[in-house]
Amino acid sequence: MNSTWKLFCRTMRVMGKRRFLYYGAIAGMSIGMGMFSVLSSLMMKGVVDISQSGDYQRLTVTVVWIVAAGVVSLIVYRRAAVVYNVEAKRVYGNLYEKILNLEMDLPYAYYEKHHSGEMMSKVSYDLGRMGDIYGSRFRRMIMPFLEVIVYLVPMLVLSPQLTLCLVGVNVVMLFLNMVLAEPFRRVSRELSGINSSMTRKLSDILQGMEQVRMFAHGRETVQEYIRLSQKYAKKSNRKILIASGLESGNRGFDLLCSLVFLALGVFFVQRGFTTLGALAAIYTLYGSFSFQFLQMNRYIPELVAYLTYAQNIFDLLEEKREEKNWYTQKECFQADNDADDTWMAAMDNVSFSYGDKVVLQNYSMRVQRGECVALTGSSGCGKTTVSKLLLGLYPIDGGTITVVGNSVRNMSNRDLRDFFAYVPQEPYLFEGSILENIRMGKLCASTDEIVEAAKVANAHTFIMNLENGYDTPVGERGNRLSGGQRQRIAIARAILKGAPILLMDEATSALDNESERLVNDALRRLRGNKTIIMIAHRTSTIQMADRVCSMNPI
Amino acid sequence: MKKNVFLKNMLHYWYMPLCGILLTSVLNFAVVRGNEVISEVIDQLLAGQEIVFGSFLGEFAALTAIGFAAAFVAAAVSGKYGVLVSARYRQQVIQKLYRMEYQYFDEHNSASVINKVNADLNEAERFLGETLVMLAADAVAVVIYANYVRRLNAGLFLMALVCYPLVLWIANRLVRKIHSLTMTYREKSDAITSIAQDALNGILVVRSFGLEDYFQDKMHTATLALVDNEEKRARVSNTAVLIRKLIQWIPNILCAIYAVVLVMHGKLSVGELLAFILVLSKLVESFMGLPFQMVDAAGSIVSIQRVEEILRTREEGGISRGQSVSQPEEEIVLAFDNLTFGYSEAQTVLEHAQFEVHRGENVAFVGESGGGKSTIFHLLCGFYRAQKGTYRLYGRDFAEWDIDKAREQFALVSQNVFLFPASIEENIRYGRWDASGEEVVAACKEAEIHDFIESLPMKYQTIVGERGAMLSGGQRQRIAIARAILKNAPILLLDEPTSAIDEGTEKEIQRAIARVRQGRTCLTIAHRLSTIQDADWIFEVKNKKIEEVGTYEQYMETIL
Repeated sequence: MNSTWKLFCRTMRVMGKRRFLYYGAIAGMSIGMGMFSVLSSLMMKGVVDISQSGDYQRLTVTVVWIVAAGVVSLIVYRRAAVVYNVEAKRVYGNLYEKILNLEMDLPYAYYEKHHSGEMMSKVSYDLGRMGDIYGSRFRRMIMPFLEVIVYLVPMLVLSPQLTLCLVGVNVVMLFLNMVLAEPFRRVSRELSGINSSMTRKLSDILQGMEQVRMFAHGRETVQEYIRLSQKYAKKSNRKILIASGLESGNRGFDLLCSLVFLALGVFFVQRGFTTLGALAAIYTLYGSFSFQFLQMNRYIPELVAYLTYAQNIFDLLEEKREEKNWYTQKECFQADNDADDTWMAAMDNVSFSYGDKVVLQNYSMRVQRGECVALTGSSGCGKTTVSKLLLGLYPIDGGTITVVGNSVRNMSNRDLRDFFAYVPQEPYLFEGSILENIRMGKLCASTDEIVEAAKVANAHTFIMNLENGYDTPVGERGNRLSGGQRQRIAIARAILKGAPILLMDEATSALDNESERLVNDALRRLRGNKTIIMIAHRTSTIQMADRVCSMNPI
Repeated sequence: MKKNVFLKNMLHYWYMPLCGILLTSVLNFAVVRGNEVISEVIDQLLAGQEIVFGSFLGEFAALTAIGFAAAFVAAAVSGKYGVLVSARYRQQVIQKLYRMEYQYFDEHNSASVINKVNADLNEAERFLGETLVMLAADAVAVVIYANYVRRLNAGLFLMALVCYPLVLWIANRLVRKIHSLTMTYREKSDAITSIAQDALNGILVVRSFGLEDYFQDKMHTATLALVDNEEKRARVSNTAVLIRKLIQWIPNILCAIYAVVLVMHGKLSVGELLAFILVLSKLVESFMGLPFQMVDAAGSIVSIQRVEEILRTREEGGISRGQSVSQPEEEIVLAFDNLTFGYSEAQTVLEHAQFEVHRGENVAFVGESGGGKSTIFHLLCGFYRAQKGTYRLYGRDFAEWDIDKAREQFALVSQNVFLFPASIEENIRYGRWDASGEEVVAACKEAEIHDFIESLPMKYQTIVGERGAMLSGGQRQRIAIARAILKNAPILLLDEPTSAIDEGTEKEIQRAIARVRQGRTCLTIAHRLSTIQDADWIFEVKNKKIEEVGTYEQYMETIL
């Protein structure tokens, strides 16, 4: 209980000082809306009292005053609601920024362990739920309390006896609701369990439609889905019964309350405790009161459940970030571009292991300025690991890596990465145009520079053949372009970066022969100007290299 | 006439909603009758008469009991109705999905279909179980209450009659306006998600190019846009709330003033006034409920239409023809005769394509990527229908085949192997569900994947992730080969993966394939020269035609 409260406070503190504005907005909304209902009831009271007393001159004044007050309370409500919504969205946006900041800063090993889609969907799910706390859940819980108070005050003033009796009836109703709520929740949970297994099955069927149709067992899968659907329908019966019980309780109590109201009202009026007008006012208020009263306990468990999503987000935000430099906590040295650079990249006696698995042991490799080196070896021997170590994605266990005369131990990971232009095996393109994607290599590049880079990468011709040229959107993950086209854009991006070393990780492995030829032509153009390290297994690529380093598995 | 399956399903259980509406009407009558009793008692009270509780208490208790019962049964019946109809509908949809033309899946991604089946069908269920009955009940309630007000005083009735439709109209327009603003909100918030997703998916590029700040800035801009949009949206939508509340209030104010005037002229008793006020609040509730129920209903109808669209899609031909006689003695196993095909009318992939494959042959297809090689396989399996020309399987026009039986002739190993999120064993067993454990192992040994599976901690019971994410392309390919072996179909269709497979793995796969080919007719889409070396015959797919190239040696001559 205590920890839930702490978590709740922490969630609210995320808003900083603005949370007081936020609380104020919720109070404003409750009072504005509550007052409006109270005023509409007062109108009814006025009407009945006036007709009963025959004091008809008061009618206009009463109506004008009440309408004016009603308009004011609605304006208060509107203002508060705008502030509330804006603040809720603001905190959601800020949280998302923080999360992104963290996500981009995690140690690389984290991404390898967690599937990015899964990570992303989990985060956006948790964050969405957490945003809902600010956007609706908290308000839904707190507003009924505030509104009930707003209603209760005038009701008590109008007739304390009648009001207390009505509250008594409502408590009974609340109790009934609470009794039925638990089984209702349970059956809903069961149903959503069946529902999600139905979704899984359906998703399997759809994604594997080719197999489902090609194998006789596929038909059986369809039958399984139908069986689940029937089970769902059957399980629904219980839910319907409970829901109907609640529904009839609510409706029936409406009638029952009328009876209680009538009996008590008539009794009190006869005794002179209250007036007929007050009776009318209480009755019209009572509807809203009753509704909010029953809402009171409904949203608390929901809010508590949502707090666990906030907890997930807090946990994620505490995840360890990548170090500026793997080896020292001290301020890093500035990378020296003019250091002894006969060896552009050198690995000396490097050892590295993934957890318990030793991948590299005393591995050495040196690359000269302007050289084109191919790194080959059977799969699993650690070729890709070499490129990841060069990029500083992991700390090495022993030995030294020197890039352009600087040891990786003495410069920040960012400085190290600036020496490399990297072309990954899967050429990832970001959502946006081709131009924007190439520009990622150097954000301040002019359009001419971009076109130049695209020409070198053998991409210019195909880009110009597209309808919108460089402004063509590449689609999600670049899926509107073919593999070869994506790869050449990735190469253009790397060229534009202007880094001294071009590092290519099996960049042509996924391409058909024609695309491979175009990419290799582009690489030939770069030879001599740049130091190129390429991880490759295709003979055609290896042939281009000045030197081939072959790796043996340990 | 459009065939509306949903409507048919709705009418199948027609008596249920009828029963629901009747019972809701009973409930409303009970409420009105209760109010009449109140009104009478109050008039007695004002006239200074002694109130005898016993005189109306019995009737009131009876009304309450009837109300309870009617509300319960009405809610239960309509809830049940929603579930029954949607379950029936869901079953029809899934069977349709299994049978519909494959092209549908090219045009719609699986997420959107899942959405249709799940969200839209749930929406339909809610519509039937709640909205439909509520809508009818509200309409009935309005009539009943309005009638009561009319009996009380015709002028009051007219007053309410004039005001409310106006309110309805205005409220409706406001709702629509808010709807469009909500749409832009969705867009802005999707933009934020997609920036984060993009940065995370391309983390390797982000990191190696130092793009962290760039994305952080982009995100910040998107967040500001979201907050900005929210401010606009909140302003408009809350102004709409304000206006709606005020407009809803107007009829009440007018009716109340008019009622006072009536009392002043002695046309209405104070007791009746009170009863009027009590019924007015109910009338308003039902009346105001109507437009929102209608908006709800409009949304649900969109959902239903989306699902209807699935049910209207064309089905594959040759379903349950029952002609299952395969003719394995036929010499020509597969033949395209002057066949033309395109995914759309405008763009053909194959034109007048022609080829034959004889029994036991090992045939390879080469050609540019995107040239239509995979399309040929899809046509062979009957996923698509040719626009012109014929495709013969064992000498018989494919259109005459029972499609399930025809597919039993093929074992397809496609390029992107889909593995179901289940154990490896189950995935392999998909080839033949009743295969024994030994048979599964034997198939895996033949596909050279057994040793790998044994090296996993859970062995054959290892669960493969969604899309088989845990396994490499080569491993997935070999599992698919094992599955094909288990299926033991006479024709093997093999779409070679283009993705990176190192030489060792490639050799293992080659050996596995060579073994599977024994005694089968085999068609391969080749991306590597090594694959086509043992082909008996090579076809090149070029310029929308299938050209015979000849043997490997002849092919090498043409490209050199």
